[in-house]
Amino acid sequence: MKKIFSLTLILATQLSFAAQTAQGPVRVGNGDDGEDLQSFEVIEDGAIVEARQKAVQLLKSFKIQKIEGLGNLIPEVENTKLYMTKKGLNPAELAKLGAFTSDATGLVYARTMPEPYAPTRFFPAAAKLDESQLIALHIHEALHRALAPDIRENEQVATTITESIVEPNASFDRIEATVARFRREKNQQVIAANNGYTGASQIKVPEKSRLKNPSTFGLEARLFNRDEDSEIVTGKKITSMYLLRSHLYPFGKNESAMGIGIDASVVKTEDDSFMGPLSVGARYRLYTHRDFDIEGFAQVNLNTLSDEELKNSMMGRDTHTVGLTLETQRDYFYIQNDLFYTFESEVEEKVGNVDYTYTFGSILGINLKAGTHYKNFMLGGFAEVLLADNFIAEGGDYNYETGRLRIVSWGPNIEYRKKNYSLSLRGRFILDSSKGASYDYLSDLMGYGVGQGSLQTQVNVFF
Amino acid sequence: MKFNWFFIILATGILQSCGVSPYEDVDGDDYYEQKFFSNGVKLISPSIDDPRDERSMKQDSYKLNSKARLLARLEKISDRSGRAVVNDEKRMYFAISSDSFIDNQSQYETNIQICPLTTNWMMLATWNQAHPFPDSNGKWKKKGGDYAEEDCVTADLSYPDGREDSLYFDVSDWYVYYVQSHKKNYGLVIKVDGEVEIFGEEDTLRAPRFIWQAR
Repeated sequence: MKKIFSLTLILATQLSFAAQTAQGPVRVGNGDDGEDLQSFEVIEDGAIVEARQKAVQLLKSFKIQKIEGLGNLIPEVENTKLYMTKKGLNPAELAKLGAFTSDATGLVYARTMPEPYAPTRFFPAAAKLDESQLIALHIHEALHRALAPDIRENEQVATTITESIVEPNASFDRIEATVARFRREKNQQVIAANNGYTGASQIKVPEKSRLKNPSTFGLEARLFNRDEDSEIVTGKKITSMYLLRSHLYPFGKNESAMGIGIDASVVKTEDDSFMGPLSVGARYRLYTHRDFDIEGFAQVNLNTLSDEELKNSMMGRDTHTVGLTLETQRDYFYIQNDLFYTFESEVEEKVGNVDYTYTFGSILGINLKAGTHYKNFMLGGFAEVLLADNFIAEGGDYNYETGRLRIVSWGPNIEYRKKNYSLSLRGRFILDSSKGASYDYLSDLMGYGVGQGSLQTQVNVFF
Repeated sequence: MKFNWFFIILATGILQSCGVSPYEDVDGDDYYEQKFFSNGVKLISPSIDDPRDERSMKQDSYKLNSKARLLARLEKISDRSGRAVVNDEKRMYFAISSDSFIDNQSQYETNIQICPLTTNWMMLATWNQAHPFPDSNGKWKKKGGDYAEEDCVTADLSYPDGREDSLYFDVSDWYVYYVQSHKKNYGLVIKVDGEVEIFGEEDTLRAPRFIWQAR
């Protein structure tokens, strides 16, 4: 068995080597007008047809159709018309036809055209291949038709992916990782080709990038972890919050999408429910390089609380935040760094006959999200450091200043994500803070919530 | 002559708008009495946890006892008392009123104490906390308010021409030491042994108030 696989790999390697000796991507067709088909006859049975059936079985065993970019591979193997040459052609004639050759033996096995459902033409040398080698050959040829147009003509790509499928230790994940690697490399080539070009952007967005499906519609529920002090500050026992999120990216292409997002919320206390803050935000991708997305964002959280008491308390703050997101998604992990700045703002509250002004200093925040993903599951978390400048409360002869506040937070993130929707469970908890500060003193109900943190569940649809 | 009458009417109007009591006469030595109602009035009690509890502020009256105290402050007193004269002869008083005091002032002479607060507080104060903000200073060192026990004063029944429903407390020393010298207006706390219901800041005539002579 090992010998068969070894031979298969040798075949694939030879095909690869042949391709590498050529300059640039190998063409697998050369303006076929059908004339050359006159030298071929249809294959209806025999070892080549049987090998095709086994190739299909092999591909189905890996559920290869679920790998992004290989969705058409099984149909291409299954449905391509098979031809065998009637007469021998010399190497020069075959080269004209774009046939694949082994530079070691000079033998020609097959050729196809790099377009969907093109026929596959086998050459006499193919009859000498064993079953495993024929399976590899079927898959190899079908890849030239099934892969994305920008990489399907690349012999190196087809050969390497074929190797990943027919090798003894092949698995869904390894095949998927191999395909993903070529997509990334192609993206980088396109990006590099576009450097210095100031015309319309041709940048490719990585397949797993959020920017592929930037628009989001979602629901979120937050359950707050509050203590006695929180209630004293806010004056309300805020227990939970429910958000309706709609972030639409109607402007620009994927690679330069600009989106406007709106988050509306309902706040629930122990006694009643009322309208919470309203958030309006915008995101714009500034730059992509080597699989790193850099986005700029701005967000305004408006005090639209319908509860009069809360509206006129410390919680009635408007916040204005700008920031940068640096993000990368690799085969098995993702990392996202957010750097953001919230501007200073004030809230006024009248208690009794005394007017108080609460001044919330600017907040500099650093948020690191990281995790791993396996199939459709993502497991990760975040760590965040918030440095809030002086909080000042003053009114009448009362004056109080906290000095700079530091709040260090963390939280887990478990997410199940398909291409167009996701379910997630998240947490946000204070790990450490100066002077016993809690999120109450940032007064950003939409951003951080209240108390000592929260548990969040989200359902999102991407499009 | 007509001009003089016009000037007097105008001056009276201006003085009234600045807080000069219309009920007190300007004395013959160019001194006049100023009276300001305490605008920072807050009831603290172990039974009230919510700092915004409606029962703890803007009331017509407050029931005080050993577990219910009233914090009182005249906000921005330094600005308002710029013309105040406080010395051995001219004293500053803090006055509270209650129907219980009528014909019965002597009973409350020692039952009610006015004490200088020593920790800054705000209108969100409770029995446990001077303010709700993040710091250990937010909590009173002693529940029920931090005050200088040795500087507490009782009613001065010799106050001349006072209202029969009011008790007057000489807070001159508090004003000179805390407000003038140390620039700390943390206000006063009203402590009661037994029980009494006094008028609150919503009573326009009998609310807790500061009275002094100005020139």
